[in-house]
Amino acid sequence: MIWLRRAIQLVITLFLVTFLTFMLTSLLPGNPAYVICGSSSTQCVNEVTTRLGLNHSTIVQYWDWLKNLLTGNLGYSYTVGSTGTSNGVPISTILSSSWQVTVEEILYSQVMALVVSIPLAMWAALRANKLFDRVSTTVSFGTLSLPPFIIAPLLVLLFTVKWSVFPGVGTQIPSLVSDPAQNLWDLTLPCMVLALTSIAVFQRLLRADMITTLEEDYIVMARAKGLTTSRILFRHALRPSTFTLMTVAGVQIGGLITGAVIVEYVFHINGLGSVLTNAVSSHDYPVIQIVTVIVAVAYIVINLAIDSLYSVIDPRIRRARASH
Amino acid sequence: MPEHPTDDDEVAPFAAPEAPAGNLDSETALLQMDPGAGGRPSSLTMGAAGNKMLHMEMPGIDEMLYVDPSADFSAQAAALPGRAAPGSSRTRSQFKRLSWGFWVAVGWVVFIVVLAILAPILPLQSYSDPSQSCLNTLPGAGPGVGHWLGCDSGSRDVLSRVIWGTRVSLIVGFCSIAMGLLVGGILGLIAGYFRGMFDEGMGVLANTFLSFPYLVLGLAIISFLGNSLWDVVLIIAILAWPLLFRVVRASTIEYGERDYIIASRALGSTRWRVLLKQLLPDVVPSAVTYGLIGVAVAIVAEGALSFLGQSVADPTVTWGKMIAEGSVNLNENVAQLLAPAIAMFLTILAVNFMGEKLRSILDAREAVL
Repeated sequence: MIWLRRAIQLVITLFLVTFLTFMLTSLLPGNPAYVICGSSSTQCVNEVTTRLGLNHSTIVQYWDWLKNLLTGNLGYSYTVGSTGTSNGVPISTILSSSWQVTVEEILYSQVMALVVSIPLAMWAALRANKLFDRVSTTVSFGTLSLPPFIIAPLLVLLFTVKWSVFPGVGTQIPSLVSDPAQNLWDLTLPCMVLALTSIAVFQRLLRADMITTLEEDYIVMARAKGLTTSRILFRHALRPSTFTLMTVAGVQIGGLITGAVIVEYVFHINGLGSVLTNAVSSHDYPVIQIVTVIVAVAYIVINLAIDSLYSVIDPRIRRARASH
Repeated sequence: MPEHPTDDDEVAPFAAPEAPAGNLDSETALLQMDPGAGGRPSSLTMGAAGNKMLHMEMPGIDEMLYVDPSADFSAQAAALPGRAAPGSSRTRSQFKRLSWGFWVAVGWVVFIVVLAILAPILPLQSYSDPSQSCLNTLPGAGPGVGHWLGCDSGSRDVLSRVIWGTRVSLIVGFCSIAMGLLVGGILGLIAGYFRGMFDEGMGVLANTFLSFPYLVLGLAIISFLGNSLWDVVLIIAILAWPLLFRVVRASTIEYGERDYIIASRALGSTRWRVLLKQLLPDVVPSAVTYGLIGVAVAIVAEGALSFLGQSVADPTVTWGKMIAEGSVNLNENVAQLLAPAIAMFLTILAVNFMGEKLRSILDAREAVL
């Protein structure tokens, strides 16, 4: 029953996401045909209006757009490769390589964030309210007030201008398949920007949950058995302390995509984010709409997946659900 | 006392359950911070910031009794002895309990608000036109006489630009959240109290809005709507209302189940009366507190939009725009990057810090009630 309810909500949400995104077109002061034709003749405007079905009612246009979307036809760019009277480049071509780059950035930054934040949080939780804990918690709080568009230029200033550790902005990054080592090395600095905020969030959450976990009886028991501290931390305390982290990791993906838009803009990386910013500057409305829909749907699906993952990780929830 | 798992234990002297007096004071303090509270009668101001719980002080005993109010309790309340007026020693001691960090944060925000207001009459150089003394040197010259923070790559005075840039961040931050709070708050109040289909529908709509990453939706709307200052305010209000809706709805549901609400209904108050006279004042503290945290998010959102060149157009100067310009001219005057970056960081930090402190006070109060 609860699953049916959630499925219905999911369908309604997905419908609303596409509908709201499509309805953005109606905010435009004029006909999108003027964007395509630029300053050319009214004949061009008339042609484009007929070809794109802009003379139909908005609901009909939405329905056609949705049907195309579901059958994999994402539509055509208004500006890239368009000469006014002909269709532009298919949007699927524009997106074909860029989305992998963005996914890679996000995964890479999350791995970085976990590798750094887990030991930090453990150390802080083990010595709660001692000096290290207080310092790291304060630094985390400060980091949360540093948006990516402040972190990115500062890291560039430090790591490429002052000390030339990483390649400069705008370096052509080889693909992950052709040269994995170089690719990862070049993406390190951009992903550090994304990782910093995540480290702060993870450190705070994991520390708080870890402190609670470390007070449990089975930890006392483990200590009494004479297990080493590191074994207790990694084998006994880590898994039960990660549930809040998982939920937030799902919610955080929204923030990471936002961060990716900024990072790709700063480092001139050709990902989903730079497709979006380019489309916004050139008023390429269909591309803006498709990227918006893709990102929102991905976000919904990932959070749903994480929600169902709970019961896999936590047997307590699995049993509670089974008994209901 | 067991160790607190939260990050805020050091700021939670109010959390101590054996000190209800401190808890009440925190409400007073919260109210002092509440910009919307100014017009409220002072009889309400005392101790009753949110939930309108009247309290009596037993002479000689530092102990509070909570009394569930009904609709016509105010006459008796006026006769109660020992009700401290705002500004009394109790209120003042409350201010001392907020850590000095809180007041530094308040001080910074007041400071930049004053700067933003006074920008036109301060002896600043033009923020939009190149200054002659900057043109005489290389573009992006470092700090020097007449230019405390140097010149930017367009030969304009950096100090002047940072101060003028304050305006956009503050206007967008506060106005968009006020707008979002008004819309989200009213909807949340109605959804949380009346529930039913309206609540379900609004919940799905809010979730839909929340499934767009804010910058993506912001960029999408701005590209269709336009980018005047008030467009940007409107866009960020559109991004903010679902969160504020959820906060207000959640606390309306929570308070709606309290005994005094049921009592008020039993005494014959209409649902609208309960909503406006009892629940509305109840949810204001949490709405304002989360609104404050929302202001920080709104300032970041505006910064991100203007960093990408999509916020308010030239010649208006914004911090995000300055950071973007500074970040492509890293070999010139570093102050043109650092000055707006630091100003923005401190502002976000200050507003976040104030919001967190107020929230921990609020949480402690909720925990005791």
